Amino acid sequence: MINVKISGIKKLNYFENIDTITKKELSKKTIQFSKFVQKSAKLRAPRFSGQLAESIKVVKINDLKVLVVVDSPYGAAQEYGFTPNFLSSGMAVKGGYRIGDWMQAKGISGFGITPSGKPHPFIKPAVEKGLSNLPNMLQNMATKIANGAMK
Amino acid sequence: MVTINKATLSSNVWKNFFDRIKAQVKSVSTSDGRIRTVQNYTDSFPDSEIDNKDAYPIIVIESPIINWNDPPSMTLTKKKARITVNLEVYDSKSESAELLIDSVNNAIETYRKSLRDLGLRFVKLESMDNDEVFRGKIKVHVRRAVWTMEFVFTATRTY
Repeated sequence: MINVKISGIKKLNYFENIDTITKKELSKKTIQFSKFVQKSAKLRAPRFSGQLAESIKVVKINDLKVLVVVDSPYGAAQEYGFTPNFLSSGMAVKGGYRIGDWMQAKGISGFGITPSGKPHPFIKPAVEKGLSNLPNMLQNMATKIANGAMK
Repeated sequence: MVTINKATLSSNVWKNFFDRIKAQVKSVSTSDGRIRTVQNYTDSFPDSEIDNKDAYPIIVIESPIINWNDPPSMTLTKKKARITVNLEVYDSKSESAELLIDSVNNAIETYRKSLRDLGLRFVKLESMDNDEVFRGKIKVHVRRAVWTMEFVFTATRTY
């Protein structure tokens, strides 16, 4: 927590609304940053049906707290990898389908498959890319705050 | 060019940007003499085409983000809407992505007088950023430009 107290010269009173403007701009930039990460993660997400990419959402908790949520049960498995097991072609999956249907769509023959379990990180690289753009966003925000406070 | 007013602010701001970019940004010539023609103009990224190399370049003109919070100075009867429009170029070639975002920005910059006539003031390029993503055999280059502007309108009187 930083406390700033300015007193003395009358002109410095122009800065009295700096708190409101900073909160407003911070809120805007938080959303902007989260949306950047969301878009970047969607582009990076491994796809078969597209459900994983679709499940990446931005959830606003309050003005200064925004979450980028991967609302898919296999999101973490794709991001961090998993221990591979043999999946029989007869095994049922969500939506009334079987592993065999997926294998047929992919042109894979046999009694089943063993997925690689290799990680396909999509959130971490998206956040890293977002962080590389963050200084520009913050500079832009600082200029807006300064301009707004002087009005 | 479609008229912008309070009732059609979001849709018509988007339509003006979309029409302008679609009319002005059609293709670019790269340094190897090839011509890259824009394959799709849309309001959100077409997810189904992500791994199809032939589907690029794609230009995304996002729906405007509108904020009415700021009061305009020197008036009590009017309201000021701050508008942000995000424009994105997706391409499988870095050079053409760069050229296309320049063309997009130029198409908007040279349109500022017409936008002003429609009531959009202080149209400016606020920021740009980029991204690169590997998608199997292709690399998708993303260029983003954020344009901001203001629209002043007479607010409905209340008591």
